[in-house]
Amino acid sequence: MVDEHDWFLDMGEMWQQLFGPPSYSFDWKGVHVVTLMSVNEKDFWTARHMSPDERMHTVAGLDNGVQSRFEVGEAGREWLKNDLGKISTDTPILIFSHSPLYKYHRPWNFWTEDADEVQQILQPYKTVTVIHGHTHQMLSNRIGNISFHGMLSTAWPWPYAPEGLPKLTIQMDRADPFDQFDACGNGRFNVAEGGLIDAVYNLWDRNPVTITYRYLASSGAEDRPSAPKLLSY
Amino acid sequence: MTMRRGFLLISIGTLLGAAIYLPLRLQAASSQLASHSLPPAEAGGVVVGLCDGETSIEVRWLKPGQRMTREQARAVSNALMAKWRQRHSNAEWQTAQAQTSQPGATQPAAQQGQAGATAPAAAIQGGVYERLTPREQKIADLETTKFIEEGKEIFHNPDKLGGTIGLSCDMCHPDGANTHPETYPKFQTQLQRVALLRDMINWCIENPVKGKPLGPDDPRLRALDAYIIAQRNGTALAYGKH
Repeated sequence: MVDEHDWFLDMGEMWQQLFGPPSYSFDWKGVHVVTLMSVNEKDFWTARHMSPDERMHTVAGLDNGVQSRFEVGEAGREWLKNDLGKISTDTPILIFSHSPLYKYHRPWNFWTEDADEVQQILQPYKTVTVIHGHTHQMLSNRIGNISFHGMLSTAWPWPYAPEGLPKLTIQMDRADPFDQFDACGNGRFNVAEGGLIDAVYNLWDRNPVTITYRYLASSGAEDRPSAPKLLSY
Repeated sequence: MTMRRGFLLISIGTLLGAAIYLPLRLQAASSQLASHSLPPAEAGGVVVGLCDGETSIEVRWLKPGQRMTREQARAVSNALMAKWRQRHSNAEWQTAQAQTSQPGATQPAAQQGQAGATAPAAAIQGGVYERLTPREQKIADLETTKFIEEGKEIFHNPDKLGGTIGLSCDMCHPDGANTHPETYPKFQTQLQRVALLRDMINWCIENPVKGKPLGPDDPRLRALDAYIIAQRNGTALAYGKH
């Protein structure tokens, strides 16, 4: 799955040579699985005469405000619409994307600019789950029929944004800067029948946290995990 | 007279004319420049002139080349002003303070006969901070902002941090998030000491950023300090908070 660090040095040339088209789908045990390229950006580099290296360095920054906001883009949305047109609205869908397919915090590009349009394409389908990266933290959201799970990073955690944090998110306990692996980890997604997904956050050196399908679907009324002792500053 | 001779005569004439005319013109130009001709010292001291180009006094105890203390200089300038006021008893002196407090004021402070320009609000007790002019306040704000911007620059730049792996502070702390300067000082077990903000800055520079810790007077450390604190403007202090 493409993220900005794979793409903006050569605009995805090498990535596509190695892995093929950045958006694709397949069916798996009754679930329609989609990988969606969601980190396209409108050209911010030509007018500034940036070299490929400078462009890459710019997208590596979070708060520079120079790079454009992520988007699936018109072509990507067209592709998604056509792809989903082949399945019934009862078919559970699982989408992998890099950026969250909703609007969390625009200044840090924890954001997809055309998220509303993408969600509209997904709206007719009964069971949709989005698993995304980019945010490097435990992150959960539910918008209409869509559940969103943000994955942990194996490299370093990010702070929670000062504004825009989804209400359903249970924060991970504050990271210990002196432990380079703290608040990092991997995870597992248990896909039950009907495409109902539980997300298991496997934080290294910490207790695992499970965000069940029921927790999100009930707007936090059921299966609520405990909040950590120390919330983000 | 041939054409050539005629031409020669005209050329010589022009050159002679220029030779006489130009120096005169330059002389006139230089005499148009303002200058204050100070009278010579009569008692072996130094003659000090006021900026009006007319008033001067001789400071008898001051030897040429000798430097005055601040108090002595203040006394001399007061004496000059007193002399000026003697000669212009009807004029209202606009202090430099009032002059520069007006945006776009173009008159020099020495202009006489100024009346009616707005002065800053009257000081109540006359302390230093009461007497700060709007201009001084503006300069202070600009300097502070500039310093914080320098810190922001360094915060976002691996090279300026002295890092060796291309990592900069913003990559883990966008907009200074999660730096919580308001929680220092606090005992940090991992450092085995009570840490200040700058101890954490240096720890990060040494460890994730892989640079050398900055010395206490390093302008970079001071600027980083300023930037990080500025991002938490308005947050209550809470030292010791983990």
